[in-house]
Amino acid sequence: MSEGGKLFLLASAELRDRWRWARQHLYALLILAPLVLGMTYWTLSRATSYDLVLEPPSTRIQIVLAILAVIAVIALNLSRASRELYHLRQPAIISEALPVERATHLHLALLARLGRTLAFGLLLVVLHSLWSERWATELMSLVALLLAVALITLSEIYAALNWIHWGSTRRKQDAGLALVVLLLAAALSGLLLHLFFNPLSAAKMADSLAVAVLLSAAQGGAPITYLIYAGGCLLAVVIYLLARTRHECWRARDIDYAQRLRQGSRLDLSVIGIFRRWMTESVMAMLARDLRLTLRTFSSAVYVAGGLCVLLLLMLLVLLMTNVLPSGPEFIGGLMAFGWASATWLPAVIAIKLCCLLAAASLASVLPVLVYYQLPHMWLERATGATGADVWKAKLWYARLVTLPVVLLVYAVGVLAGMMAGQGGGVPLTYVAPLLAECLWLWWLVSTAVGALAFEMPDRPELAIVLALTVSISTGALTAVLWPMGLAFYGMGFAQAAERGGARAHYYLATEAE
Amino acid sequence: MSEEPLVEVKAVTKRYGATVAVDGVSLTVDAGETYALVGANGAGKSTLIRSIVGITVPDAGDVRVCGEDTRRHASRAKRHIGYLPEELILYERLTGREYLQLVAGLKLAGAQQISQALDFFELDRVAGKWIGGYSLGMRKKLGLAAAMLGEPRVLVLDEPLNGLDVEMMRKLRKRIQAERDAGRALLISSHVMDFVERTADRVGIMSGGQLVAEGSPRALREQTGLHDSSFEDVFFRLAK
Repeated sequence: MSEGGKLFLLASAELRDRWRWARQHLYALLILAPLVLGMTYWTLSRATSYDLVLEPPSTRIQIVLAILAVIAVIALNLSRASRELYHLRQPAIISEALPVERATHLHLALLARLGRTLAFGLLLVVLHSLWSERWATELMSLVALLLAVALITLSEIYAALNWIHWGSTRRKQDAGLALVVLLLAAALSGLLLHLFFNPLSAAKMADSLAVAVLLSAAQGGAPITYLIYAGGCLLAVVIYLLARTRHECWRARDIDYAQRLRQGSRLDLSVIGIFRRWMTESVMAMLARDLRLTLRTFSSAVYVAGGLCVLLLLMLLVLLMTNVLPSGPEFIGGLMAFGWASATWLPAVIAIKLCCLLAAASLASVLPVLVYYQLPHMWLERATGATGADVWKAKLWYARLVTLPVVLLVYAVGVLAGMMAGQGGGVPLTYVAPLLAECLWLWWLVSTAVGALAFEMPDRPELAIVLALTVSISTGALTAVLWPMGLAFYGMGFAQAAERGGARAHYYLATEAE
Repeated sequence: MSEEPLVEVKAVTKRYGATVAVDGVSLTVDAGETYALVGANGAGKSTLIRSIVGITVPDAGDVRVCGEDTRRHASRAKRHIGYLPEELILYERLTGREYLQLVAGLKLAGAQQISQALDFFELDRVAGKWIGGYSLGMRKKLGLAAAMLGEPRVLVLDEPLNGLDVEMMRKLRKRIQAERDAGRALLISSHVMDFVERTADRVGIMSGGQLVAEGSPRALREQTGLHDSSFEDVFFRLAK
């Protein structure tokens, strides 16, 4: 059988496996996800239509954001791409011991990546149609998107290849070359995505790009557009050839390193001893285990959540350091009558609080994945006689501890960025300390909400994430606008949530319902 | 027996950072021979086996399977190998039959062999069910069936007995003898000393990444002088 035939066999086995997984999750995919996404879109569109009057960012900022988004996508997918490339903990690992050429492994990983990036592209098509209120039908616009998808796919695999190789060998020349190629690919992909959303903006782009000085001689935007397309095609071919030759040389040696990446490392978690007064030894032991698993990235969800936090932080920086946000006192108008306390509604303060909320919710959403991951190992809790309340409490504190550092980081970055921007849009000095209290209050509320719901749907992590995010973000958003509301939510809900959480955990311990 | 060994391992060394997992091991397995690799956990058996089947590349030394260098001609060497890994990771949502069809396709084995393998390993009743619902024993049998597809000249089985019931263990032992009689080379790693003594023509004992003793079960008994003790005692004496 030819290598093409083998690739077809392996790819169809993967596809069949995933298709059957999707069939098992029809409810989540066809009903729940569209419902949640639809409601989110409806809420956002209402908010942007009536409440927030935001100027669209300049072409330059749009391009920078597009490039940053591509870099984030590549970085977020590093772990998953390397898993696909080296079949780490994947059934396709069997093909390593079978007569399958190295190039077939690479092509299989590229196909898997392409499938996922195409889904990302489809999402962009939908976003484009919502934004421009028409479907993208221009041929060149779709070509730009397809080219960006191809470039991102190739870059993800090339990045994963180099990431593992760097860990294995620490060769600076290879890493340097990869960095240059990937930055170039991210820049071109960002430009192509920008062209997809703004097919007629090539002339504007020319004004915004440094290279435009050279290119503007070409009169008008079209030649620049074609240059970007041609550059994209050329770079895609170059990255494919680089990935292919590097993979051929490196695979045999790097696969060992990739497989050992999941093995242990030294971690000192003695710091959690300071929480001894609030929890029993049993809770502390479970908490230490959960934190260790997270620091050792038990699932790629940890990378995704971390990546989301980085994205949120970048967005906050952009918001605070540009003139996207409306300037403070004029925007909140009559609310200034509340004196220094009215600073709680300043756009910059609200932005920091919302960023804290979203970052905490993103990180806390790792918890449902952790609970699902641990279900087959719950015999340990059963055998050691842990109570449902203890198990639940460990998860509650896990959500709190995992999210605390990022909330403090967002707060610090937000306050500093606001001060540096110096456009009157930052945090007033008198409100720096109260804002910390507000951020900590949001953290406590959001992490408690997610932790409390840990055992609501332990065997359906995707639904559990939707539930936890809906509850935590909605209560958190209201609290961000008016912090005393959080007191009401907490007072009314926590005691019941604690009782129910303990009972749910006990149910899973008692019934072995995994 | 043919003159050239089907598996030839020469001074193979494999390091993981400061840890030497396999330290200059050399061994051969001839056609029509069963070679058992025994040793404590972490002795380096699985790393050596992974080097032989081409999943891991040794830092030093050479491995040849049916005359093919596994480093230079990995794909060609793998054509001759049937491998059962210690830890089986399978497609949870494929049926047993679909999984075997995939492996058969990659190994160029005929469809008839799939039916024979399902029949031999008593998997025909569950062949249409998803692997996710299989017990540990069924998974192991499926892995064994996949390893034996394509009639490979070299069979490498890492802990083949885990999860098998007594009847299937007996059946597997007979199958191993039949494969050996058919001129195949078998390299088996196991902790079940009774199985090793009854099945293997030669036994290699690994400790600390090195091959510390090698020979037929009878020769190893004579070497230790433990004629009436269990083979487990022989192993402990030599492994120390």
